[in-house]
Amino acid sequence: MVSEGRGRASADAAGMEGAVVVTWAEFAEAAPDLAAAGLERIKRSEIVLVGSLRKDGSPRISPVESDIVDGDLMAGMMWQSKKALDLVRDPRCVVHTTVHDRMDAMGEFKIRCRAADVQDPKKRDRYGEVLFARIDWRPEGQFHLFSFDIESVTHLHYGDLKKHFTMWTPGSGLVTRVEDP
Amino acid sequence: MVTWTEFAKAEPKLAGRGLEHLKIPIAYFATVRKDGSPRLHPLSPLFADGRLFVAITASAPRRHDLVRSPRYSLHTLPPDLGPDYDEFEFNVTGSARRVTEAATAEAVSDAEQARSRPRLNDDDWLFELDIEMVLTTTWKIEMVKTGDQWFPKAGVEPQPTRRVWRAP
Repeated sequence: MVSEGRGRASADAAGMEGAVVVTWAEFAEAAPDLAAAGLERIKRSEIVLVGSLRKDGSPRISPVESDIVDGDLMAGMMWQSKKALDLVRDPRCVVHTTVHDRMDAMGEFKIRCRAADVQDPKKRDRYGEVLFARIDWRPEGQFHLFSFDIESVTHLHYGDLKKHFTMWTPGSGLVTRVEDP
Repeated sequence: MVTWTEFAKAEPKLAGRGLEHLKIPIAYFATVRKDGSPRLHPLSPLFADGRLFVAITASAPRRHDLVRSPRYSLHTLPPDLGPDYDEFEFNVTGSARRVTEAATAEAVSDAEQARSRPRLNDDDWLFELDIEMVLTTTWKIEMVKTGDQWFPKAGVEPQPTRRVWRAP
């Protein structure tokens, strides 16, 4: 569980009731095993899929590379790309790890988030350093950078012929459920 | 909006490559939740009679998404890394329609069985995906082998080639 006052309420573009969100580091402190498994998943495939909302409210899927930078889950995006403009307009999104078949043993992580448009030059520079350390490349010139504030994390995997759900939210902590598939 | 067959008639090569990728066998499907936020989940797209479908289990809350808001986005996953790896993204967007005719469900089940996959459950919700736009992105990527694994060559920023096809 996140201690009192750790989570923050996020305001979204639509002015709706904000959800409580935490950084990746706060999530990892509260649910270390789940966070470690999620991070391994993100690192292994090197890409995640981001679900965002187009201007007309319909859904968009975009594969992006994602890194943890000083405790924040972040993704850089091409300047003025449609997915980036989606997140600037409406921060509600979902970050999903990739799976390769139905019975993928590592399962899938669904992270419901609010994307924050990172403007702080120091944070942007740190992102560039972390990215460069991983792939020997960092964006030059203009680019969008988002950090994903986390509302909930769900891990779904199959084992012993059952479907295992683990869900974590800042308010309720870990909840697990096992079902017949 | 058009059916898969009509798209394939207009763009046979593209549809062929897309079909190959959509059958990898998992693709990602996006819908809009009740609160208006996006939802993603992996699924296997279904093909029968030249039409494109998805089936959603009767217990999943997401089955209501498409009834409330029929807009969907279907996106292929990149294949596993290998020596000839070129990243190819195939994305289909449009509008989903629930299909309740038993004959259609039967045809979909038969097609699935023919490719050694389970038939639909009786209570699955079947949706046909009408196509409005197909977006493809190809990334030419130079691969290098490290140990027994292939990786994109470091320090190179691949450039995407994008194509958009819109239903007439």
